Amino acid sequence: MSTPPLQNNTPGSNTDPTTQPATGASPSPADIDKMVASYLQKKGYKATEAIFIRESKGDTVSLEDVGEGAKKKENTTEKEALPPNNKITEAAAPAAEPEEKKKESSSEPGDPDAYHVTKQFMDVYKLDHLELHTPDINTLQTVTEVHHIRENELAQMYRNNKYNLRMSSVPFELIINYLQDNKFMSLLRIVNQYLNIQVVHGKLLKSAGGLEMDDVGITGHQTQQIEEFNKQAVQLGLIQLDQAFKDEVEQAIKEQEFSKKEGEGDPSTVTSENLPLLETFKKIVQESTEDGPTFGDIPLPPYRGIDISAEIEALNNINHRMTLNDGSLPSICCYTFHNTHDSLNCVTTSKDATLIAGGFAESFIKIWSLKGEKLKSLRNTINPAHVNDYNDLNRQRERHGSEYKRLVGHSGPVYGLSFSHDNKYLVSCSEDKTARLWSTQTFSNLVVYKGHNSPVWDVDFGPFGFYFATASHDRTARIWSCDHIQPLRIFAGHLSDVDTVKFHPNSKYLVTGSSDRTSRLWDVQTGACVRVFTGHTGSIKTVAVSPNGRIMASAGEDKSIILWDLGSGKRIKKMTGHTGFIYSLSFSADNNVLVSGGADSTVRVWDVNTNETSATSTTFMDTEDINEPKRFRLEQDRKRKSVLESREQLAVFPTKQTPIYDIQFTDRNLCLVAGAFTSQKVNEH
Amino acid sequence: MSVFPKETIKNIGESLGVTNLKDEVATALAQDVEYRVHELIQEAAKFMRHSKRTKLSVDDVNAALRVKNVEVKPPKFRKTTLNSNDIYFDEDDEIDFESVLSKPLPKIPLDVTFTAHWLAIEGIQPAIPQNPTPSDAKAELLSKRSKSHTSSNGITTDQVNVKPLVKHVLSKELQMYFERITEAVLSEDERLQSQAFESLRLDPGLHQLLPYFVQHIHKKVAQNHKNLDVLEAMLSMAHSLLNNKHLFVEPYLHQLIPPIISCLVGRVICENPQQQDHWATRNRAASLIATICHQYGKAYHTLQPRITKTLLRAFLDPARPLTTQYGAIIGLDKIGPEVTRVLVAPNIKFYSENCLKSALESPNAVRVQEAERCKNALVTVLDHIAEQNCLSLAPKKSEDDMDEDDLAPSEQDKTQLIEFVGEIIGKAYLEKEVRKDRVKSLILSANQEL
Repeated sequence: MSTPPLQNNTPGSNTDPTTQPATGASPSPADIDKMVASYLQKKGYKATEAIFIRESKGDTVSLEDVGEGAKKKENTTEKEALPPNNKITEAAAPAAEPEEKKKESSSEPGDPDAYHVTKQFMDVYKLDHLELHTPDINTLQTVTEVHHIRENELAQMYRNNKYNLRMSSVPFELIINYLQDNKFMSLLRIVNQYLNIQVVHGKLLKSAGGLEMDDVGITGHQTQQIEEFNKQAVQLGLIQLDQAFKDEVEQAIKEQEFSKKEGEGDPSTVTSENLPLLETFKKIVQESTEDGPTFGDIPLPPYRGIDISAEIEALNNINHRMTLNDGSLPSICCYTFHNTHDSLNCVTTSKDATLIAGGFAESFIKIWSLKGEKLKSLRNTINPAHVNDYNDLNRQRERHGSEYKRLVGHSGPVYGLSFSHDNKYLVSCSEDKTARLWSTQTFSNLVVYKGHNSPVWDVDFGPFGFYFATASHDRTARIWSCDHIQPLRIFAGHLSDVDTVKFHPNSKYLVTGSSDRTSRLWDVQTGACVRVFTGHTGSIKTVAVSPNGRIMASAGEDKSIILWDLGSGKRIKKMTGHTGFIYSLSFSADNNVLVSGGADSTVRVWDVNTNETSATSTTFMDTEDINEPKRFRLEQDRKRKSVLESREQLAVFPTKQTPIYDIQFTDRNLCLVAGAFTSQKVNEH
Repeated sequence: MSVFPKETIKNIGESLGVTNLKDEVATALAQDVEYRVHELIQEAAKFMRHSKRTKLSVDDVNAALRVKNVEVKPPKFRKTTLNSNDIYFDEDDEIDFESVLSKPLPKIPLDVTFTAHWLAIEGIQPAIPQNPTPSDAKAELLSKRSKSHTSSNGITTDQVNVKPLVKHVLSKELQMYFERITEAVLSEDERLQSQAFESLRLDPGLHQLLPYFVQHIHKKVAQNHKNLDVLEAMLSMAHSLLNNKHLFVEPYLHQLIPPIISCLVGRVICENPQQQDHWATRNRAASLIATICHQYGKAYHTLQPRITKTLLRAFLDPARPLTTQYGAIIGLDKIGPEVTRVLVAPNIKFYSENCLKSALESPNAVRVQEAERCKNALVTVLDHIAEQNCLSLAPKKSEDDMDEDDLAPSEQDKTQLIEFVGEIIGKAYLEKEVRKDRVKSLILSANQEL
């Protein structure tokens, strides 16, 4: 499942078999390496305030690579009596940050082992840096001889400049102690010589807004080279439909219209041209699936009759949809939960606004009807032989029903819920490391999906049902089909918890958000990461993909929302205004408006289409300020210190102390939000 | 190095039976402990945040321990060995079954429910109770903002604007006048005192000071409830203010009446009840109350009923001291015979038999004296009622009863009266009153009441 190596331009040496005597001594380095990695990673988190986590990660990992190199070198010097300045370390350089490559350049050229060692080193550690430093790695991969180092510009740059880093004091101490305790002297030397670690006090860093990365890396050399990585091709259009399905839908529409017209006694005017529904359908199929995955790319169960009527219903909804833009804002219906005493962890509503489900800390799930009806489940004693049509089935329902149904099965707090597109199923995930599939007909548990090794934070049903995805504390996201108890794909690559997961509307991709402050786009088919989005300064708690599949929004603990263009992998804009964690995001059905909600008990509406106004406006102000009186500037500074509300914010709707847990748009652009009322006292302290 | 001093580690070691822990070991352990605690808190915070809470709970820490593969062994469990197996058990308190069963059931907690409302309709937030008012929202924003300021730099003085306690500022002259008057009112110098009252009664332009004067009276009465001179002065002050034509006292009546009533029905309103004439003070207070009732009763029709209710309660409560009852009687009397006829007269018999009789027969001279006062007050009440009755009946009776005017009341009338008001008061009244028509009218009104 790992990303296939992008570059095959390694020199001829890679044709050699990789069996290598020099590395025979390095099983222990590999283990140590793991240890260090986890050790350092933990460190990275601990200093939550400190470093851009990804950055620190990247750098710590590079250190550990260096560690490996150094270790190898020690081993080799001792056991194999190789020349003291073995190339191995130099080989470490290209794979890691090449700060180190330099130091070994004085070693004699022509050591025959160098090729293999270098190559192996590169193979092992390349993947860790591929996403952020593709071009650099490609360049350094070519370096296999000592004299290459002298000639290679990039290598020279790493040698002649110090690589700037920021760390808070605790991880810095831990690293230095680790290196000293284990006597990795050459590694220490590398750190001293090629790294410039700036130890920052955490609070200072935060208040200075110092999460900008201007001074990380080598001045003049771009630290992040994700763009290269993000150039991989993606197909973002909607999935192309089965030809048979298309035909059948068209046929059904025609029949429907004919019978309607006939009812009006005007059959003569009916031609295939004046059927509005049919036109919409054709238009949609034509436009939206243009660059979508072909039918069959994502295997789906064969369509059923009910899918056709659902499709027609959806087309009807499109015609009834409210158009939303900056002049016409959505209607928002708020569901407020009472008496939860902080035990409600998550809420979700079904797409057609008939059911609402809440996951509780006490391990159960409750489902209510939103239509004010009582919920009636099917009886246990049902005999399929006696059920011929829908009415028969309804006769098998409970007579009285109840206000809500309680689903018991999990053995830990429930963290995520998602309804299937047809509302027949609900999937939930929990601290007990499992996901469970529930039927909303019988209100009983159907399947338990075990596989994650840690609590599961989030779950999302695929846009066509059948598949669902989970995000877990074990740093992976997984995709499952309802009929298999084993995951179909495991998406590994995040450096910390995967906190949220969402399907792309064409079901070919998955979007995840993580505590490592990145968001990633994964290809469901190959299991590979195809986009990395960096820029958040806090854990990402929620992501949303626009219904047309082109734009992604992410938000979380840094209280800002970032819009991304999935196609180019570039950031469109960052929108600020929230004063608390953001728990949920949702695009309107026509892609024009984004609604967000979170811990600050507000619901905010954002304009998706204006471009870059906030960014330009702030910089604009800054330059203009120079000519303005000082007092005015001070005032502005003060204002800016409080949260700067971006211009894209179209509206704010405060609630009465109700943090918003979930936001969803219906097909007709009605916005449903849900949250739990908290008495203020509880919240304040 | 570590936030945990190595002594802590050593102590913990000793409690586990590890003595002589070396310094380096302890330091290393302390460092590791700090790291583990950091790690644990970070993990626990994840659980807290995914539960959308802002408070870290024990469950979060337990979940974090589980994730870290640390066995969660609650320390309160005790260990015992049974058949060479370790068994942990929870140390329970013994519970008395009966008391548990007889205890009322605890209240069932409210079930989780949800309500739906429109947070926005086409971009407009409707003004319904479920939505915060704009001012709420603004206040919340402001409070958040100010909080963030304090936390960020600790300098808040320039942002907090302190609201002055006094909305309008009094001129220097008025302030001086206020000080002088309040001093003069309590001064020994009678001339000065009377001048002060005069000024309060006649001067225009005191309106700004009125609330302060009322406040002053209120305060002084509360502080000096046993100092007759002060109370007297305050009554005079209230009297003057009430009589000042230029003042608009109504808004302050609610503040002014309680101190006056205190003077009227206070249990003890002087240091030395035998020597000081607190009865006169009570009388003054009574007439002041009556004035207020008459003056403002029409505008505020709940005023008089409320006062009379208060006084009547004081009168009819046998537990109250006689001084209080006396105050209540004269207070009601002053308010008017209509009130006393309806409220007091029918209760005289009950009162005299339950309260007065025992007091009059008591060996305590002071008590007897007080009772006498009450008796006399009640007789006066009857007097006033009779007078009133006569006035109202006079036109009718003027012709035919004129000649009987001087006649003493018949024995039958007397017994009837005594029957109505009780022996003590009846006799006292008859001793004083000899005119037949008056007695008759009283009986008449008594019959009406009955």
